[in-house]
Amino acid sequence: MRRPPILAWLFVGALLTFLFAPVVCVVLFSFNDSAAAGPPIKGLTLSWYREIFTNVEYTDALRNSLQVALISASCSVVAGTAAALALVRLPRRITAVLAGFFVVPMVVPALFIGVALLSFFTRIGFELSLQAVIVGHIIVTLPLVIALIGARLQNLDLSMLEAARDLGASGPQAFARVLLPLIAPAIVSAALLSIATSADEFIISLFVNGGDQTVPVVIFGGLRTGVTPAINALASTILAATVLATLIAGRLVSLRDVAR
Amino acid sequence: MSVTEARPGATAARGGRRGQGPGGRRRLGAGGRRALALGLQVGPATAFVAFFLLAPLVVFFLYSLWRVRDYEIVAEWNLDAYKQALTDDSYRRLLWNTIKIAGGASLLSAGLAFAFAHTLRFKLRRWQEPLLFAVVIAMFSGYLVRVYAWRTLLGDSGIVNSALRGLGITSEPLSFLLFNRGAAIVVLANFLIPLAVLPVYAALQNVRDAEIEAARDLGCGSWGTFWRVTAPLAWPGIFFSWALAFLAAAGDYVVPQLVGGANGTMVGVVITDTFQTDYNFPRGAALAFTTLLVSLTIIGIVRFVGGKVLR
Repeated sequence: MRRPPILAWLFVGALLTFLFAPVVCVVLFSFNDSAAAGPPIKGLTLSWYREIFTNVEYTDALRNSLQVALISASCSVVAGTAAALALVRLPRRITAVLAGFFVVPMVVPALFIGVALLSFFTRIGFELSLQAVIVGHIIVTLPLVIALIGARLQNLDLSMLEAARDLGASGPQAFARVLLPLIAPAIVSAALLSIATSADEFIISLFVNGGDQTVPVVIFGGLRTGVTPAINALASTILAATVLATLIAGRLVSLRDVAR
Repeated sequence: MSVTEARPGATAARGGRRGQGPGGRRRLGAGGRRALALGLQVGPATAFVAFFLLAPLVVFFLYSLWRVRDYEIVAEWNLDAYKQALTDDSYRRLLWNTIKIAGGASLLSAGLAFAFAHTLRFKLRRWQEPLLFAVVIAMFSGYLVRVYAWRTLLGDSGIVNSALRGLGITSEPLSFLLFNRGAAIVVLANFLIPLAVLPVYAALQNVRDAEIEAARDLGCGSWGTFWRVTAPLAWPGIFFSWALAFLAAAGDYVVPQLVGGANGTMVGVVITDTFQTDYNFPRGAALAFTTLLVSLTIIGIVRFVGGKVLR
């Protein structure tokens, strides 16, 4: 028997601790019964959560974030699934060009997308608002949807569709009864990860919100006066939503398919 | 809402460009109908990204060549903003500082991401999926949170300093933990590592056991196998991870703003100020494109050199 890889576990443990330390810290201090968002822990309370669900500034932000996440994820999933379906069947040359095209939103830093959108919207007279934020979030979630669903489609034998057609199914029937059930898990996980991405997106929202603040924008605004337990509770609420979405998404698709 | 309105319009335009009016559709052969269907499927997403990302980037670029007069942007073509970005001492220092921080953070991230993916692939095979999943969760858990929490962790009255004081190791808080270049690098790495892990992990999946064994059989030691087999095969993934991390770091605003302090400031902060407080869009745009150009140049050089060295 090989000896257990202790060093490997030590390294992996240290790295994961580093990655999760800030998250744990924020969640922990959101329950702290003290006006200061730091040590010592004086006792546990839910009062900060009561505050964020009653204070209008926070509830507005939560409602805005929810609305933006649901609308942008829906748009991205519909347009992205359609695009992914076309990309696997288009001639290879066109697919390569389009795949490169859809990577652009992933590699351009979000700050540049934010200021570019701000310049563009003010130029064409598009009012800065939640709609503008939704546009920005569709831009960043579309590539994610296309990548996730594209990965799933690449592992499918698309000749099944032709078989369905040969057996008398119409195009829409073949899609709804054969293809859709096969890619449904990927679609759901793409939707969930889009929601998580949108709920967490900060920079683009900061530039184009025009006063309709989402949760991360409110958190950032609150940080000017220092970290407060209410801010931690607000952040933890979003964290709970994004982590839950990611957990479910991860159950639905194989990570190996995606990391390829 | 104009978002949804834009879509069908764009789709119709795309179909129309192919010269297929509503009446002409019946006359199409099977090939034409298929092409139309594919076009309709990929059209909305393409049109959306073209209209709301490429067009904004073009406008943004044009702004960098224009001028502000009486708080209005006027189309007077000039390169003053670029000249200022490249010659003004404070901007040059800023750019250099940005490169140093982004360089440090991206190397740290790509390095740790590679070590992590390598450990998963070769040492902890049975645990690959859950461990990778943990990193994916980290990737989706709070960008802003991962930055500002470090104030609670490392601040003067934060967890680390309280613990050190409680244990009697220090009497004064260690204030060098935050608000400097090193802190900016560490905090950037904290949210860049998860992004960097996936491409490297994917690349390491391309290294097959048979290839490693063949190298061993042919007399390569561990180091030889690593440098001659694993590293060259994984290089595209490593490079992509590093480049992604470098670009994301070079364009970051939150980290320098919240934990960077005086010597940890970066271009992103100044770009944001020019847009939010100075309303000098041309200057901000020129700074952004200068940063992008410098970053892409560095990335190009690394790609060239890395490709030559790891063959």
